[in-house]
Amino acid sequence: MSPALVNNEKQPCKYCGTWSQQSYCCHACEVLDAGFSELTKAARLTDTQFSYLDLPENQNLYQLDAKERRFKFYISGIQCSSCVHLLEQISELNSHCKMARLNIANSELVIELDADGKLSEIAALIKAMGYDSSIIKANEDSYEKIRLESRQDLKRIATAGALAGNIMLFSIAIYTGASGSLLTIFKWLNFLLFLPILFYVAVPFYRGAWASLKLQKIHIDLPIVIALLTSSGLSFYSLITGSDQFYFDSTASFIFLILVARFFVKKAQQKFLSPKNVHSQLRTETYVVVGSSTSIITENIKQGQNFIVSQDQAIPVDGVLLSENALIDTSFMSGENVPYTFTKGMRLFAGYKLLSSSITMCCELPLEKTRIANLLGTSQENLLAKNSYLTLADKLSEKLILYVFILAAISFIVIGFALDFTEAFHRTLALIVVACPCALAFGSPLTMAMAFRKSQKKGTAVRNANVFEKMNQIQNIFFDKTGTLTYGQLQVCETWPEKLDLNTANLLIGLEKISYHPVAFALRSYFKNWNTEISFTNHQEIFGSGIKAQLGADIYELKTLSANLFDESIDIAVALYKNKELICRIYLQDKIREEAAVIIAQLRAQGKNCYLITGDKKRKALAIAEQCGLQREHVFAELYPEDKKDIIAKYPHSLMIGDGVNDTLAMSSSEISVAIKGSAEIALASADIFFLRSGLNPLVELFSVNEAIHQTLKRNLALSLAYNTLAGILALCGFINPLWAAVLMPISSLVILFSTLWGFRK
Amino acid sequence: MNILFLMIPMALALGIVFVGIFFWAAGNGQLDDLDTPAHRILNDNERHTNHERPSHESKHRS
Repeated sequence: MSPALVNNEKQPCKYCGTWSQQSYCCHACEVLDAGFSELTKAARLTDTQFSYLDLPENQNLYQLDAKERRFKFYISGIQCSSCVHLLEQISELNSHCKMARLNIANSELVIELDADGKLSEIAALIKAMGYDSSIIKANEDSYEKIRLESRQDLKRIATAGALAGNIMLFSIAIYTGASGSLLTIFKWLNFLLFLPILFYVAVPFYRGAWASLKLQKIHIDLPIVIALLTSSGLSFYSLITGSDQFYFDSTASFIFLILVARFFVKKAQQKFLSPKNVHSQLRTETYVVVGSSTSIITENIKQGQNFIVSQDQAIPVDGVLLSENALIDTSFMSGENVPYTFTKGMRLFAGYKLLSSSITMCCELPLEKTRIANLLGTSQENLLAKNSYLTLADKLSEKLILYVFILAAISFIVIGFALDFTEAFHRTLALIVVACPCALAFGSPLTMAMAFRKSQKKGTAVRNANVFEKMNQIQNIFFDKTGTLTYGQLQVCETWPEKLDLNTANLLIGLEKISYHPVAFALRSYFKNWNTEISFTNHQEIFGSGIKAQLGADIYELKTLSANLFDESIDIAVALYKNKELICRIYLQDKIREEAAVIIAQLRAQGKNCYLITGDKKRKALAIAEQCGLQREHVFAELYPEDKKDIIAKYPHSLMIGDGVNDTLAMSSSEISVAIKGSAEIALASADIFFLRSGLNPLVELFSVNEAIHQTLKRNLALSLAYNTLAGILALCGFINPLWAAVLMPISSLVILFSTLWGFRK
Repeated sequence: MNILFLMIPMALALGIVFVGIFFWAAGNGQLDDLDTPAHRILNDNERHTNHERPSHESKHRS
């Protein structure tokens, strides 16, 4: 296969015609254009990288349902129709594969295997096709449940819509003066058409109301069910006794509207959980067991097992280092961005990252007993506690139910004695029917759905609607230092001499060529214009001090300078020596994000308190705080994760924004937790909000979306209160008849709809 | 007026048929994935080359 021609001008893909900068728009097209011969060869190869997929203990972890051997992969890099075509060919290329189905929106591939099929072969085939795949564990596959639920919801919406439409047709005939036998027929038809709504469509509302009664927690479903049952009871009573209190049409249409609004919220919320959001940020790491060719995943590593961690991988479990040396990035755990050298026999904790070349380590504690797992366990408990939050709609509906029933009881007695009890009965029931918190039940979910969409557009994903309701009370905002206020990676800030020539750049890049040390990355991005690849001989990494290599007869050394030679804003400094003679010095620091100071100033102008909370050294934290415009007394430094949690717990209405494993516990104890883009998996898993765009700017957007939500909610509430008061008075005075209800209810819904759309017009 | 007694059952029957069709489609999973089938239909297991599809080309160039 020839490599794709690279050309800066856009050209149509040779295979599918999609315009891109290459002669093929994606790998799939290139493969398809070349035919399948390469692939069929590749299909027979197995890759040891994927052998963990075949371990018997992992089968239950992955198999989607008990009967059939179905598995699901997340595929990254899906471009066009050719990807669908190519990936679905798996069922023909692998004789054990019975079915392969791709979902392009979710980037998910469902595979069904026969009894002898091997998952590793499928994974190797996907890799040969040029995609990165990660298998989705059955318990992480929320999508299957969501899919069945969404089918049910669609059926209910369709039924409600069809029935409400037909009921309205017959109702128009009744209102415009149908009489005699026709009137009776229409009334009974309305009743019959209403039955499915009562017994099928409204079932979710009954469930919600029942749960709210059982847990003795008010939920918005309760007033809806009360209104539904009252109006259908009253209408049925009217049907039998021959009076004209019919609310079938109004009730059917409000049930329909509420269902539609809820469906949209659900869809928006599910976007947060969609694999595209979650899986593109997580990846499955595999490790090779010492003395065998099998690879295993983190969950499989047992106590006492020796395994190999390769460069740039995370340390999966707590254990002991068996290799001589290892350079470790501990920033996710400690918040410090200067790596440490570990020597043989030292303990490594899960969550560290290996920067030097591959090492062997022995597992001391399997995953579920590690410090990380403890942190995660505690944060999940905190998360559960947080989710029991009462929403605004629930709180208001609680009051509304109370007031309406007190009012109904009083007016029943008053009107009963003043006029007569049959009339009092009618008017009181009419009151309960029109007092249904339609705006709350319909307006709030609609507002939330709009808010989800809006915030996603602005680069934030929000876990659930409660978060928005809590946003308003936020008073204290805690920032993590490394990776949040700063970029989380070292950058060259100063050099000596001030300008370095090209030759020095080439030397430095050549020396650091094989290194994963943060300094190496910093140098690579700083010297973008280096041009000659210098190959050194005798390249050796001297742990803790630097790199030594030979070029001809000259010995070059790149050494780390000791920390007392430079001031506190510098994180690390290196010097280049040629035969022990100094050539240059380079100072590096973890730079503060450009927008940090502006954003903190904005937040403080809004009357919010901003704090810095970090595990790093006090002097560094203070230096950063000064540059960001934070007060000295608002800086908390040199903290363990547990200390961070205790500090945040002391401040009510707090928001914690961070990125590392060490922030997770603190994040879970704050009222709202925010993970910025590129955060550690565990931080993403427990955050209420995560940013899809890098940097801190989404935070400001988040507050502006929140502002829009609260204005809209307040306006909707005011409108619906006005409507309910007016309609309630009319009902008590006996003016409300079904025709009025049929006119007023849609009008109020329309007003709420426009008010909501207006609130998010920008 | 008598025509109503024929039309009402017919209208209702039609309604029931449509809702039934929708139920069948939703239950069959036709509404689960609204994106992929549109791509799937484009695959006709034949190799495409540029000169075979002049209409496609000219559309992009214009």
